[in-house]
Amino acid sequence: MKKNSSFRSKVAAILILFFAAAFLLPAFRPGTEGYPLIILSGAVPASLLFLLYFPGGGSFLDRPLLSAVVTMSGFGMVALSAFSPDAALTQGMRCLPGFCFLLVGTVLIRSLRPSLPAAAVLLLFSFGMLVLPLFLPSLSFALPEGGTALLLFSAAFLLNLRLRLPALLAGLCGVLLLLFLEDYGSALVCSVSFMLLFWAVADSTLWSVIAAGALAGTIAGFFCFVPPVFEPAEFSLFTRFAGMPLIPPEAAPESFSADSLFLLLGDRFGLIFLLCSVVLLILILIRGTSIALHARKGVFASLALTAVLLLGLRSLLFLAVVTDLVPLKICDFPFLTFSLPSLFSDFFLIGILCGISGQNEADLEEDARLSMLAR
Amino acid sequence: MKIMRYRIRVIVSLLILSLLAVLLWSVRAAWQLFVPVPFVAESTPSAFPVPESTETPVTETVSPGEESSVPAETPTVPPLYDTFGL
Repeated sequence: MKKNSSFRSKVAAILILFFAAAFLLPAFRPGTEGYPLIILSGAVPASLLFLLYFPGGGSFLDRPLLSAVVTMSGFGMVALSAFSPDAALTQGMRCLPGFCFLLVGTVLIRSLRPSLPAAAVLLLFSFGMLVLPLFLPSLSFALPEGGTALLLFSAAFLLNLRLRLPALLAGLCGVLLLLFLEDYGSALVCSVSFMLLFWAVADSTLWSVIAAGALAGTIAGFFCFVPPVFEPAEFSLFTRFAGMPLIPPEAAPESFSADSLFLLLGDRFGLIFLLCSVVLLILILIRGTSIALHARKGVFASLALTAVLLLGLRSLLFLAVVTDLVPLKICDFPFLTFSLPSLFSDFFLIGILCGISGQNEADLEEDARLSMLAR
Repeated sequence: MKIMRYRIRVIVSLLILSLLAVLLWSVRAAWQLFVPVPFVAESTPSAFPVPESTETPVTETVSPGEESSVPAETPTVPPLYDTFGL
C-alpha cells in the first residue's frame, strides 16, 4: 500500500507540474491573452488532484484510469493553447459535461441488471440514436459512437442470457443501419467489435463461425446492391502526418485546420508527443482489460471488453485512415477530438469501466467481510 | 469464465499489437518519406556533357592602374599569312 501511494504521489506531482508549466509559461508571453491559460493551469491540475486523492472515490472512481483520461484530455487543451487560448478553454469546457456522462455510465452499471427488458431498452435507444439523422436531416451532428456502444452493450446482455440468435440479429441490424447511413468507419468498428465479443462471450465456436459468416455475408450482400460511395480526399492525410516534426518545433505553426485535434498535437509537439498519446491510450486499454479480467460476473467482463474494444478499434481505424491504409473519412481519436458526441461517448465508456471497477472493489470487500465472519 | 478470460487476453493482446504495428509502420514510412536522399554525382550521367578543358585557367588579381601580365586571349580566327604558309 505504501509503495502504491508513493508511486501515485510521484505520478501526480509530475503531471501537475507538467500541466501547470504547459499552461502558465505561454500565458505570460507578451501579446498572449493570458487569463484562459491561467484558468486551465489551475483547473487541470486541480481535477487531477481531486481524482487521485478524493476520499472514498475509490469505490466508484478508478483512479489510474481517470488520471490517464484527464491527462489525455489535458494534452488536447495544451495543443490548442499554442494556437488560441480561447479554443483551449473551450475544449476544457467541452470536457466538463463529459464528466457528467462518465458519472451516468458509472451509475448505470451499478444500477442496471442484465435482463431482457434492459437489453430491449438499450437496443431501442441505440437504434434511435443511429436513425436520428434519417428523421432529422437538418441535425448538424450524428451519434454513431453512442449508438454503437449501446447496441454492443445490449448484445452483451443478450449473449450473457444465452440468447445468441437475438444478439446476432441485433448486431446485423445495427451494422446494416450504419452501412445504410454510409458511415463505413463506424460499421467496420461495430462489426469487428461484435464478432470479437461474440467469440469471447458466446462460448460456442459454431455460433462464432455462424456470426462471422452472417456478418460477412450481410456486408457483402449490402455492397452488391448498394455500391460503396468513397469520397476522394482533398489531400493525402499521410503527407500531413509525414510532414510533422519529430520533436517540438521552436515556434508554433501560424494557423491550424480544425479537422483533428490529434493531428494538431502532432503539428505543435511533433511525432514524439503523438507516440506518447498512443502509449497513454494503450495504458487505458490495459487498465480496462485488467478490470474485465477481475470482474466476477461474465456480464461485467463482457461490458468491460466492449468498452475496451470500442476505444481500441476506433484508435486503430484512426491511425489506419491517417496513414492512408484504409480509404475512409477521418474519424476521431478517443479524447483528442473536437466532436462533442464522440467525446461524450468516450467518457461514457470510461464511466462504464469505472462502474465495473467499483463493482469489483465491492465484491472484494464482500469476500473480505465473509472471510472475517467465517473465522 | 476461465475461457472468457483467456479469450479477452487474446483479443486485447492482438488489438494492442496491431496498434503498435500500425504506429511504428507509419512513423517509419513517414521518416523515409522526408529523409533527403544524398546526391551521388558519379552514378548520375549529365544530360549536357561539358567538354573537359586541358588548360588550367589562369587567375590573377589586377589592381587598378597596372597592366596584367597574363596575355590577352588570342582570337580564334587565324591571321591571313598563316593560312597561306607565309
